[in-house]
Amino acid sequence: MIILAHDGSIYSDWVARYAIRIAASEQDRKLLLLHVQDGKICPEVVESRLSMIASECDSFDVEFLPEHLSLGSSVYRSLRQAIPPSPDALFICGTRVKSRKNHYLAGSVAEKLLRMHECPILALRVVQPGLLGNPHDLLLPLAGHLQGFSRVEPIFRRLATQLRSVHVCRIMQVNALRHPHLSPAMEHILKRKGSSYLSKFRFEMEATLDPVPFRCDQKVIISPDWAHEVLMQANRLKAQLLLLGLSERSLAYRVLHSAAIEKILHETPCDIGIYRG
Amino acid sequence: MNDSLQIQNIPTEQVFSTLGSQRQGLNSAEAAERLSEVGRNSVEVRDPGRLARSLLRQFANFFTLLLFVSAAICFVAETLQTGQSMVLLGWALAGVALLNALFSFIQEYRAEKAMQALRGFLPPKVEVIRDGKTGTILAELLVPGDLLLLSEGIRVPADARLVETEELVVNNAPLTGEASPITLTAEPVKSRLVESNNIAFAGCLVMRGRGLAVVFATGLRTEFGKLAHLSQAIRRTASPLERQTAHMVRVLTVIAISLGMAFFLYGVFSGRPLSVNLVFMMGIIVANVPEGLLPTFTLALAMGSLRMARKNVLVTSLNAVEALGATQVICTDKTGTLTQNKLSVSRLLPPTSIEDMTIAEDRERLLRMALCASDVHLVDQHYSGDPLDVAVAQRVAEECGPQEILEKERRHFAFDFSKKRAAGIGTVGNQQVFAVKGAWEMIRPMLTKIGSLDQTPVPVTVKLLDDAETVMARMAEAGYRVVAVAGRPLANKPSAKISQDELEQELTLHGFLCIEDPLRPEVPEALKCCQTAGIDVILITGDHPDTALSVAKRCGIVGHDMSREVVLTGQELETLGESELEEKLSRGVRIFARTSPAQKMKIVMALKSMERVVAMTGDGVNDAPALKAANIGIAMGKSGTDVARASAQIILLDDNFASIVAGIEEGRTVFLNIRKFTNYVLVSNGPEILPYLLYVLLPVPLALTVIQILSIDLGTDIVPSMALGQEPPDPEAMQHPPRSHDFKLLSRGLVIHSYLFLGLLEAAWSLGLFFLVLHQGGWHYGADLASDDPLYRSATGIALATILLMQIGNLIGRRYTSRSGLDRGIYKNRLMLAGIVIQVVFSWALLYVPWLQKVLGTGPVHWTLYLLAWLGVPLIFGVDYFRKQLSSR
Repeated sequence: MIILAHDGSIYSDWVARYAIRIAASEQDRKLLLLHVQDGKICPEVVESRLSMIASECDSFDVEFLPEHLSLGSSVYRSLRQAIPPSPDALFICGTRVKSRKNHYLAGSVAEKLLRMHECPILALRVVQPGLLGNPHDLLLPLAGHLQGFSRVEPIFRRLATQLRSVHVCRIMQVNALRHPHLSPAMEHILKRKGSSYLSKFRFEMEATLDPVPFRCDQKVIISPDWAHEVLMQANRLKAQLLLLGLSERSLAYRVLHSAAIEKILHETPCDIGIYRG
Repeated sequence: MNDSLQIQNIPTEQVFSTLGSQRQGLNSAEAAERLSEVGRNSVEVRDPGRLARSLLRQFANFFTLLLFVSAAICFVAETLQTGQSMVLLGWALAGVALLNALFSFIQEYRAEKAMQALRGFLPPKVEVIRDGKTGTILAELLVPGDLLLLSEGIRVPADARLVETEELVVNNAPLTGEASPITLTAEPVKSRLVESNNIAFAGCLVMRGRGLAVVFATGLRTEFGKLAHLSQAIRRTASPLERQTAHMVRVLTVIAISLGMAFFLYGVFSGRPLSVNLVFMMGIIVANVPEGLLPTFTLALAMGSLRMARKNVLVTSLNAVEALGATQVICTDKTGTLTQNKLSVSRLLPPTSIEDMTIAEDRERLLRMALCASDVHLVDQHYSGDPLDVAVAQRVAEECGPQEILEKERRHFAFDFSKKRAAGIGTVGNQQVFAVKGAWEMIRPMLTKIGSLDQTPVPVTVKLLDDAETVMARMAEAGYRVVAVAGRPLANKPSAKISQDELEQELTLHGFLCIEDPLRPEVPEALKCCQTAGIDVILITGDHPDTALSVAKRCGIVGHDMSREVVLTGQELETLGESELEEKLSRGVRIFARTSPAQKMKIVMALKSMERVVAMTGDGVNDAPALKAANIGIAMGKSGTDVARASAQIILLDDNFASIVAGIEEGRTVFLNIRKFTNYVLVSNGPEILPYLLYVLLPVPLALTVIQILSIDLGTDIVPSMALGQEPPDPEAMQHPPRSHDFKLLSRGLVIHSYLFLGLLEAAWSLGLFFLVLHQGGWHYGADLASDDPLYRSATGIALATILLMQIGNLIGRRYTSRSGLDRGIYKNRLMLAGIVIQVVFSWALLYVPWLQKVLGTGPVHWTLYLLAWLGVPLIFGVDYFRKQLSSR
């Protein structure tokens, strides 16, 4: 089952397209829509949007289950209480610009939802509504997580059917002062390390998805600024979706890491999915 | 419902609902909400701190820091020994450091220029429908869902799906590099988003007609925005020289500081006063640092850039001078760079024979059919339009006489890059016809008959089609660009709304036009030069693979025995991953045919992953990312766009491939010269360091003072170094393969030769004369001498004069690695002559001219001793020549 958090805005409609298409590839073909009635958008507008989603679900033969939630102590809490306990479900929400216009994820409901551990979660920022929630070219930057493919598998498996190409890249981060002076030998070592991680990742992916329905390419990049490289790759490859993993590390690391994620969310050339597998 | 649909695939009415829009447009509140969500429609990458960071980076650079430290040393020396003009030297060094930093900063600031050029591709204001009314708004305020009005002459402000069109024709050159007009439609298509002809892409120009479109991507999310982002944000990798100088400066600094600290500590523990130890530490550091070397680098590069400019190679970044010399692979365009870009119709062939058409009527009919599918205009007695169409019109005029050949009432379907063909409706021999001309592989599936209009057309068979294909392939192999011409007679005048697809039925193949674009005469020689210089040349073209292969063979990019294995088409390239592409390149692929300019970036990245130094040519807006990503971006001066020129480090003033090769030779010469004068300068470090070591370790006077060292490093060595930097190209410069990735300017061999061989020799001879003067003056081992003692001043004067004179022998020897250096002729390099004169005059003046004696703390010696100093010239030259002879055996 796919669970979608919808705030009643046009933006959530764009996120809903992803949810509908993913629900259409699920076995149970169910889409549970959760809307917290926080009064920000008038109920008539919400209803008209939900009816459009319902008709789109019909055309995809997806069972549409809308649920209106009354606002509790916060939107986050209301949503969390309404999420059915199902580890096989995928929770999808949008992540929108905040009022000060410089944060997309930090401190948002989406970030709090991403930190909960009930089921896999995908927070989407949609900037290309013309893709209709149907990206064909995916860029998957990897930070070298020990879990490898299994970490992204619940999300990736659901997106895989509509993909035409997947670019997996591992950015080997080095200190900015050290970077210009890296010796060729050191570059080789870093590239070999990155390549071996990616090969292992691809092996696991191919074993899990067999047969792989898309073309896959891999690249190792040595850079002092991973966020910059992710954006460059997304532009260069004309990626239609960028999938980023959320760090589970220390608070200090998360603080530094979140600045980079915010930069990517701000400058992204394509839709972004942030996951915590 | 098909679940893999995107905006280009859906019917018009669905476009509105999926983008949350309607025929009355968005209302203002919705637009404002969307604007806050997706941001302004701007392709500018906003980074307010970028320039400040860039400026700071230039000053934090090792290179600049070292110069500032040297300047500080001069100021300290002035404090310790006032009245020796050290402060002047200090300011000079600080000035050089400042200039170096500002120069580099200006180079980075140029990225802003690229942005300005890109900004010109988006209109400031646009016409939209909002709240049911048509109005003009700032283009920056466009949001997804906005209903956009397109009309002739405007630039498209954002990516938008067309919902209505009226004869809408656009030029997508900023994205595709193809200047040919494209007709757009509002109908759904099955193609990929970037290849769809129902999308108006940001940055493209509306040439004709009108259209109504719904915006679906704005700013950096548009295809043009992605291009703009790459053009602005790609960080150029450090040039080989930058890396090597950084390495050299690091090594020299570490040596200088380690030695300085070691002897400072030795002095402290051996009980010398702290102030004395500090002075000697500073002296050792000054002696180790070649202060004049780094500014001389800049001068050598600047002089190299001037010489390149004389060869039609304009350098916009000094580091590119040497980087061009390090080039291992040149990725070049064909048209205009290897060829003259003067298209002409050379041969007219019937459909199934390689014999030229001989019957005048047949020839005229084929040409007129081709003209029907062309779009040319007569402007001031010259044809204007696409070069191919102009070539067709010129040939028609030649064959049919100068009478009026262009019809007034005709219809044209512009060349479509994805369809690879153009079409038109016109009259041939009083018969109204529909004609198509273009790539054979695209026309073949539409053929039902083969023949010409005067004969009864024969229905196609597989054999006939294969015969025609053979004709096409043979001509392509011969190096022609082959254009197939097909058509059909029209019974009635077709309606104005009839589409090209409806007309493209039951076509008859009339023959082939063989188009020739002659090679530039100097190109084969230049390619031969590349081969001997070990530089790979890769051809990237939009032509047919056979044509590309033939041109590559004629120029010498590949051997005449090469087959299609060395060719990769754009279609194949699209399906390859970067690692697979690397494998193809390492297996010898040298030609990329039927490629789009956007694929250049992929080729550059693969080559860079293979650790090759890549030079890439380009002229279009969409070449800008590849030009920036390459180690050396080369833009075309004549045909290039402003964006390409702003993104490149080198501009070819004549668009000629041979000029690139001339530039590479100059770049290699610059590097060889830099190596020569680095070697020259480091030799004098030996006799500068040794006196300090002796002074600290033994009870002997100091043979050279700080001001004397600086008078060498920043005085007498500068002009000779510049002279070596101006040496003409070595005949062997293009006989060797490019230097490897891990080649170091400050190699172990160079250090040993500079410090432990010639440096030691200079030190031994100068110190020998120093002690000889002291000995003759009655000094005995262990005795103290005051710095103003005449004996000490004479001894230190002869030591300095000896070093200066021996540097003449060193200078001549540095001109060649294996030959003597005299065989090149000193008079040919006037700067060298000037350098030698300076050394001679200064060596004499410092001994015998009172005011200079005062400044440098020197004194006179007997002329026989000065003659002994002169003996150092043949000594160092002879010993070094002997070494060259031994090592060449």
